[in-house]
Amino acid sequence: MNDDLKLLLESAEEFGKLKLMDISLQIERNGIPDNIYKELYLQGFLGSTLSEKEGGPGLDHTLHSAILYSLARYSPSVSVYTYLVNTLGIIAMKDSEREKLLDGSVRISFGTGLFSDEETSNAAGSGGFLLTSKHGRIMIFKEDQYEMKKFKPLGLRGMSGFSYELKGEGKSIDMDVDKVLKESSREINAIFLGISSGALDKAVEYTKVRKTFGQALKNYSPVAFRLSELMSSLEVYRDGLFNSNDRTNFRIKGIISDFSRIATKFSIQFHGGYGYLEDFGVEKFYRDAMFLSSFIFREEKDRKLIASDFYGEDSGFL
Amino acid sequence: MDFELDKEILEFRDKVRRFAEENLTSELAQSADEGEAYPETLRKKAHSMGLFDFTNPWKVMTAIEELCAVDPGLGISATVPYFGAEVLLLHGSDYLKDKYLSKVMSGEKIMGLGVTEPGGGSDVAGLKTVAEKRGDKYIINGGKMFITNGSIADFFVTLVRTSPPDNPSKRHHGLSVFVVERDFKGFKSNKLKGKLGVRATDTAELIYDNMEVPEANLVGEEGKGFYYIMEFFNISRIYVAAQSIGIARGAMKRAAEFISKQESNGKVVSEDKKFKLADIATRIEASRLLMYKAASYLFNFKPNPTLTSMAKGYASETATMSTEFAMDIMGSAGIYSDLERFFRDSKIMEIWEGTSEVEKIIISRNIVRGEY
Repeated sequence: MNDDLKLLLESAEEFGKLKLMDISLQIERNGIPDNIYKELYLQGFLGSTLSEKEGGPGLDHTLHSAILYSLARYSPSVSVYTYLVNTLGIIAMKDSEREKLLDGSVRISFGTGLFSDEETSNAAGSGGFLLTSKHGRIMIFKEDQYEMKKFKPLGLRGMSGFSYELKGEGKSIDMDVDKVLKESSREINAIFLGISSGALDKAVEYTKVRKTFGQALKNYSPVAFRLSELMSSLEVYRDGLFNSNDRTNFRIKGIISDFSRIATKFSIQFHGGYGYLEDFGVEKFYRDAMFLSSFIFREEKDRKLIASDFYGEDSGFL
Repeated sequence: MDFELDKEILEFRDKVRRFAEENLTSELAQSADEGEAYPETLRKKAHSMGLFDFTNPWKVMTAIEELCAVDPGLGISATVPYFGAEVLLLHGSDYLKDKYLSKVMSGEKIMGLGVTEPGGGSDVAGLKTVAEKRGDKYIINGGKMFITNGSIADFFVTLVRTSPPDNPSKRHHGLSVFVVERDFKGFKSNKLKGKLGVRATDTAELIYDNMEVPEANLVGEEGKGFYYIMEFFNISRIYVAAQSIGIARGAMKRAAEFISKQESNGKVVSEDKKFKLADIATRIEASRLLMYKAASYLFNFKPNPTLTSMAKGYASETATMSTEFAMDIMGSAGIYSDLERFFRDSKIMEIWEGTSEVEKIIISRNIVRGEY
């Protein structure tokens, strides 16, 4: 691991511990607080992918992934918002609008239509600018150009969610979302692995202290073997995340999405009834892993692209 | 071998299905889920429709499956006012049956079962709540956790320690069951909020602080409580299998409708998605057959704990698997539909009434003992 990567992992981990850990439940219940957006900017996380030519640090995919991985361990919502701003947001918004986005003064929300072939009117976010697709075109709308109705989504509750009705014309954006998602496969993997890591860490700690029939849960082979296997898999995937090339990261997206769902499911299971309560901070990972496996990982579309990449021609379309 | 249910059950099933479709509306399900509010009106309506005929447990099992197929949270809420009734039915004195059970069966009152403790769920015999006899009363100290109906039930059937085990390896000796009322001096409950799913059901922590319980409220024999509760779990686990199958069916229905709509709109739906639908349906059938077999033994008074644990364990895993596969099939349409509630509700099936791990312990132990 090179020094830059190590440093970023450590600083993002510290940010997570100091700024997110104690308020993670509050984030799930009430949304990401305003000050966190500012903190993300001050830390250099929001806007980290902006090129040096445009005045940013110009982090590459690996270094960007380090930030997202560590943030996701504490709040997947914060990590995903950072990812979406740093990939789609900075393309969609320019000049002073972009500055306000990056310094946390304004927000941006993301319509699910960006990622899905279905024309939907749902979005992840708490308002502000709305980046979405309309009749196959990528468009951005200002806050007064749509009406929103908030609801509590399955996942990314820190980002919040709403259904919307477009009122204004919006502005067309020249953006190939599929290309962005493919090129940021490493970052998407980082988020899923951060979620897995956050959940598994909690499960390991809990199984050390929780006793049943007079023994710590970790002393039971089904628990210990399963958790250590999951942790070992996480190590292998993390190694792949930071050390493999872009193509490999693209190809393993499906496996990593699946892994995050399995890891978070077992994390709840080993917490027993406590895992089912939001207070213990485990169930959010389970919800977010499932939500994201349909939100930014497109089950059918991405698996088809991966299969086609392996075969070198269009495959898996039946 | 005829696998079809008899005519009476089929007609009853249709009646419950119609009731569920008319009354377990998406608006009610959503508001109960968001507000974590127990649907009292639904409970009364379900009771007045005669949906819970305890003289015929096949009907009870069928009602649970049909209600949960429409909405798990509401379905379970409608069926749990009687939770723990079998303990009184089988071991309660005439006094207890008359004073408590009859009121639940008439729909007037709600009951609950207090077994799980903050320090232990799977390890029932390791409970810490104690009862001390003083004159014609028992004084109970301790608490229970994750108790369904905990903040709304009028009374609970609860398991406590009345005497130390005669042998450290026999911790299940010395446990007894009592009926405790919400109005008893020393009883307190705290509603638990923020559950992942089944949020229409009520869950609470119970606190027994020098709670005074009349000796007449002892259920059955002192010291036999563990056996009564294990016997009850042998019954309730079959009902959890029914809940699970209902959830899986609800997920399958949504996924099938999605595929059908996509194809009628001229879109190609991948065979991979259809294979997942086939997997869901196959698991449901297998789960139901296992449940029926276990139920058949139980309802003929020949309970087979191995089969019961198999049914509960397998069906609960079918529930979570089915909702996950349905989400994969529906993609973003699924995460923003009520399927997401089925997904959240399904996970508890693998935890309550005996975790999947506990079921496997029971199954393997019984096999080794030659009891399977």
